Amino acid sequence: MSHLSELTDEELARRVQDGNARMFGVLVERYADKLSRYGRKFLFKEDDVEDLVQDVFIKAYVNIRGFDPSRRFSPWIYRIAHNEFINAMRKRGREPVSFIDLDTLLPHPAAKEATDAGAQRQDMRRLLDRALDRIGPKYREPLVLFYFEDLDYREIADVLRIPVSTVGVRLNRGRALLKRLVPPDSL
Amino acid sequence: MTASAEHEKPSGQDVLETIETHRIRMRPRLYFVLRALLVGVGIFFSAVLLLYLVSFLGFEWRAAAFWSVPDAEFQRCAFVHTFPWLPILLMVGCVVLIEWLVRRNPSVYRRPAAYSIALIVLLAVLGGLAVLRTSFHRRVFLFATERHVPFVEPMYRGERARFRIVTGCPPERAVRLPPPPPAWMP
Repeated sequence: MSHLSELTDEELARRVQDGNARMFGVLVERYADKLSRYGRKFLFKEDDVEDLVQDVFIKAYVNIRGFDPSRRFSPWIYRIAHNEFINAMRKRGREPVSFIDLDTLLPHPAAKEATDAGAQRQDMRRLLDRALDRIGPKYREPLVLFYFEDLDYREIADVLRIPVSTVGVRLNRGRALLKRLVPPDSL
Repeated sequence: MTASAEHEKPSGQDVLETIETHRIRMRPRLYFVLRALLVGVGIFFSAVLLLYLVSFLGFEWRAAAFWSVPDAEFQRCAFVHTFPWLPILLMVGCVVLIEWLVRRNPSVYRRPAAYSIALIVLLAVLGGLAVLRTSFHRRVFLFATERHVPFVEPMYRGERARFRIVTGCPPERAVRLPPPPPAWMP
């Protein structure tokens, strides 16, 4: 099995597309923790995240032949997870999820990708953990994807299907909101 | 990670077993090809309808020519009464549909929607002006009048009025007239 660990996600996905279903198990092992963590952070009020993650994998398996192996696998599977989680939120109606967002319509000044150093990143994660329940899903999700899932702006844009500049705007606003909710000196 | 979290996390084996037990199948490549094709066909037909509507508005605007009457009150009334609400609503619908369909593409959704909408509108206006330079709408008008094509015939109100003023007879009579005899006939 050691050679499997050398294969990229995209190579594994290509093998699954060619009919080798066993390789899908390897992809599940690679992403189960990440998607569960993403679900727990994003849907912090839900208790059936693991069932939703299981559904995400089933949907990924059903649609894997629609994945283009020349592109990155992680935004593709996070996109399926995003849809599944948003649907779960809508069904339960605990938090309003808007359909139209002016942020995606209007151009914003190009947002420079934040390059937080390790310590700063740790601080932001701690802030996020303390205030997640007080931030709306619109800002919570990009923050979780950036600080916990280590996706870059472009990948977050691919997951949320929003402009790259909007990702920067939401992250900046989310960070400002976090700092207002939990003053850094209270950490 | 705690022991309970470890237990709850779906494992590769669990997922593969679920896939096998429920006989879950991957969708074939053809499904995705057909879906992409359907999106392409949707964009094509919406774009054709948009071009038709933009050029139609230009054609009718030119035919109605109410701005040439030197009476501001008449111009205002004519503008309000002949304002083409339905074609404009349809045009907005087409732009929204095209935007929604092209937004699946990464090169589109990574940029603000204002850019793609502006590009669609610009292309529609330029395309509409190009169609307006041809005799397309005049031929559609004559064809629809001759065959009494439902929905299309009543649309060309401005051209109908202009035709009546210029030729002195209603278009449905004019289109039924036999072609003029050749010059060599007595």
